Amino acid sequence: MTDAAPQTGYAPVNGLDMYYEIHGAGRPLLLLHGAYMTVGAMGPVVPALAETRQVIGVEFQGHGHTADADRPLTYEQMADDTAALMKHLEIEEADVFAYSLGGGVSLQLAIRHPGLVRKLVVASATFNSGGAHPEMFEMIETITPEMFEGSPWKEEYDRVAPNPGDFPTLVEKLKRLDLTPQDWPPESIRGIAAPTMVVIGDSDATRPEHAVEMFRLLGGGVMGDLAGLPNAQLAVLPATTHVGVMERADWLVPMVTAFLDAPMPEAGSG
Amino acid sequence: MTNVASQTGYASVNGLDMYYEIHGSDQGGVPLVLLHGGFTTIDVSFGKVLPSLARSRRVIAVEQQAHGHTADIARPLDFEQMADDTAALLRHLGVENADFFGFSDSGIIALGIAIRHPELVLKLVVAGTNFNNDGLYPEFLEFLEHASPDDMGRLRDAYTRVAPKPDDWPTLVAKVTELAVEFEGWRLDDLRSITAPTLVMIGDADIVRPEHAVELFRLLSRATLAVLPDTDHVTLLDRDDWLLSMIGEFLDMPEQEVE
Repeated sequence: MTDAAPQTGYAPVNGLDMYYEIHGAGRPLLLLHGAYMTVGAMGPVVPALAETRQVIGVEFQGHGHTADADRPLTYEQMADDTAALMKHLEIEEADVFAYSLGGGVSLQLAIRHPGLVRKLVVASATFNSGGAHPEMFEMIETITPEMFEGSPWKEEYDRVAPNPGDFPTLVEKLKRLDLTPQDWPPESIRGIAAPTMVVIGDSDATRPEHAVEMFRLLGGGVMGDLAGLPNAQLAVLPATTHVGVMERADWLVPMVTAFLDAPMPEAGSG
Repeated sequence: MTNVASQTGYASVNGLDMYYEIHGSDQGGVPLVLLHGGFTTIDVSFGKVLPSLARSRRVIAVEQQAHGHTADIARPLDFEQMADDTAALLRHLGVENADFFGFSDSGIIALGIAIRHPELVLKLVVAGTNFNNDGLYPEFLEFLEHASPDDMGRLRDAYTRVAPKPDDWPTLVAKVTELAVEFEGWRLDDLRSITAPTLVMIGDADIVRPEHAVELFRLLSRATLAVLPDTDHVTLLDRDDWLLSMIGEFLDMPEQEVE
């Protein structure tokens, strides 16, 4: 991160001291990271977006600067923690850019706290277990804390975590979350009113069919030439893996910026 | 837009005087063949991206039977025939193999070239392209069936500027409409047999359903997929920043690295 030092702090939310950092100025954009990640690990997209808006990065329970708490990791709880952090910071409404694990959290944030989300960019996420390639789950079963040794994510964790010895606990809790069947009703996705952009890589952990299904539930899947462009957008990035999505700043930043900066649609349209 | 071709001409192929333009210089690399969309011309389809594409490679753009500078002849438009015409034109020009970028209807031709003349094809880009008519939104087919030559002012003007027989516009509209509506689709096994690395692109609000683009991505053995957000069929080729970056990366990638 090469921009001016961010404003950082901790918010007491739901028994958690939740870390946040604020970059740039302007309309707020909440940034929700992927599993095992920190704000700093989100790559070149973050400073680029912070040039045109205020980016508020948070770190979920057990991740990065935020210590673990004596409770499991769930999408619903992380969404509620994030909502409480927004209230603590007196942010009434924000755009959201969310990746992977954070993408699931962002969907729950929009479902459980709809008034807080203005527009949503949900990258490389699923709303049910069928949305991921089946081999993902086989891979997750084999994850051990030792596998992360020497990786940039683990180095970042060791550098910033309040209790670096807790890493095995994070691994255990994330594995339990990832291996718990996810089965959110399609109606809950359809009920999200915030204009939403769905993003995946073409070789992502999320299957492209699932991204298209999510896009349709959110109002996409119409012929724009005749019907007009819908409020939902879909971006599939070519030759891009799950981890690779966050490296595609040259494509992602203009796509996301155009989506967020377009006027809000009239209520009831799309 | 000043798209000055370094060479233009007509080749006599399969009874057709087929128009072509060559842009950019021969830098020793693989040429890129541009195949325009139905009803349109080289300039209408590719005016915005051609200068950039021609900066780093030799670009050969053709106009199909009854389109643009190429006069119609007494036979219906047929995707297999247009694939064969294009292959014959490239042989006439001494091109042994090339990359191909087909837009809309001409993505169907590009797939046809890969099926019928695989030795000609190194890499394929197909944008806004269906491989059968289930891939199109039904309302688009309905719109096409009722399309009138008078509805398409911008395309008619572009045709009239360059066509050898400008009065043939209604014939072109009738033939393209019949071609598109009657398309029986490429056989799935033929699509599976394509070995050329292929970039499948659509807009997220294209005439092609996103599920269909995913199906093509899965059918092809070495494909990559791009869906451009906030983009319909007509604006797909206006997304020049994303298109050029994605196509450039795809074409420049060493062949063995393409999945």
